[in-house]
Amino acid sequence: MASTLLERPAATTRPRVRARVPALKLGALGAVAVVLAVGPRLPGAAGQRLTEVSLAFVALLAESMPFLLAGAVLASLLRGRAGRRLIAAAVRRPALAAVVAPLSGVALPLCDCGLVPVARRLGAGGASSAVVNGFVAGAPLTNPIVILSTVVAFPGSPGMVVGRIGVGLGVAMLAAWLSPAPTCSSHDDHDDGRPPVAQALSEELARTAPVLVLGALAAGAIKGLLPADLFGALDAQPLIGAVVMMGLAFVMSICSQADAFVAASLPVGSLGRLAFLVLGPMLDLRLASLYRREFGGRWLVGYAAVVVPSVLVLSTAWVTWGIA
Amino acid sequence: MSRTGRVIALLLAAGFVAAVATGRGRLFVRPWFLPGLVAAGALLLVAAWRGRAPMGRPAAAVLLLPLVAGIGLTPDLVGDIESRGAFDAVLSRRLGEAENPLLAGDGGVVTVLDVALAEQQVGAVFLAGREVSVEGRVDADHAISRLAMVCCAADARSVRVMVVGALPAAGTWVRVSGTLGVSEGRVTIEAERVTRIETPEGPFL
Repeated sequence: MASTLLERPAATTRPRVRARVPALKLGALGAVAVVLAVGPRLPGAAGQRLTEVSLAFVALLAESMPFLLAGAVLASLLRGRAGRRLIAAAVRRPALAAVVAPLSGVALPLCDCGLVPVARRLGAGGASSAVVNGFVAGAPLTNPIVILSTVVAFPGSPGMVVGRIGVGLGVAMLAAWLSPAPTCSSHDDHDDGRPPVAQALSEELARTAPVLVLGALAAGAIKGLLPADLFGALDAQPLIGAVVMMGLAFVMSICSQADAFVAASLPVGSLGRLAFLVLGPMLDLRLASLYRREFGGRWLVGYAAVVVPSVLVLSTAWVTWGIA
Repeated sequence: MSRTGRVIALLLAAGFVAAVATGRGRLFVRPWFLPGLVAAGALLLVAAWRGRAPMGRPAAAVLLLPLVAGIGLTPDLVGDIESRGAFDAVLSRRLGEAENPLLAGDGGVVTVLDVALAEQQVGAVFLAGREVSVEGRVDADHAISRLAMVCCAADARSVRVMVVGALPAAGTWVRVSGTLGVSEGRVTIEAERVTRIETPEGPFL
């Protein structure tokens, strides 16, 4: 949904139709704006629910926009000499780079949204698809913010911390080799003498930020309208519980710096928690809309088809045979 | 940046900075994240100043949605959100959390979350007898509750404490002063004074 709203009409469409499409989009957006502005003021339960939708929407954005912009700054720094050398090294040794890429989150204190511009930069710079895929799937789980927040949220259970990183790296390796090649355009490769940081920020704002807004809107709407007694049913069957938790990680789209605390507070077993913690930073509704925009719809489907089952299988294996 | 893009970047920058300056930012994120909002505002100013990526009208309209939604939300509206979902959610320590006076052996002005976390860590019996004053929203079944964010309002969880004594109608914001006690193994506040209050500036903890 996210990027179809933003796609430009195809060049072959007749001029009259072309003029009408933006008008329709603007009309639909106007209607959404009215619901967001007036909805919370409706009386009764409807008003409360729409307040929740609106609040979750703005809160998700307030939390992820700073990281997206910081990611754009970092990606623009990769255009500098040291960054170019780094990417060139990755292009020369694709096998080694694919192994290192998922681990490189350690050096990048950014949340999952902020890593998307960096991944695009890697792809545009010519890094192999295994490197980009491994980075997209693995780096969000190996970054210091995520590791630290998991340690703080699960005091005294190193199994959850090690499991999150270990299972995450395993899934990232599978994603690196099995996911299709992303379509990274090299649109931001030109050099017109403008300050690269300012240009990178304005490109991010024009390209990715609207998609992030629509992703956050969808996540907020689902969160506000989710039935409240969902968790009661999860205790009975751990595998079904894990699947539901993964669905929840997808729709809730919580920032990866916060999800460990949320997982710790959900009344489910360790399999459900682990699956929630590994999948969330790799793939959620907000990220899916960004990924589709940056790497294409076919890539997104292929990536999800690798990541979702491997998170479930590897998490189950870890909880069954790994350290508690 | 195209003129549309510049205007949008400036408006968003103003939105981020105004959210922090007016205190409205506390509706959406925890206080420790407010500098992040200021930083986002500063980066958007840089984009508006020298960047020049083209921006279509639909994209610009999409970027205005969070401003419309954000301006429309007031503490009163947010404070009216009913705590639903799992009540006994176990919250662990949060990033940037201040010292919990109850764990230090004191009482006084504390939050519902302080009480819940202290109960979880040291048990209700240890807390009994402390004089406290706690603010919250009255629930249907003799309790006051708050929604506590982990990071932002989208991940808020409900926390509550039972109150012994008369409370006004559900949905009213109150300050309950009294003594902590134990009932059926759980911590309660034996209310000595219950005062109605305005919805706090940051209804979510």
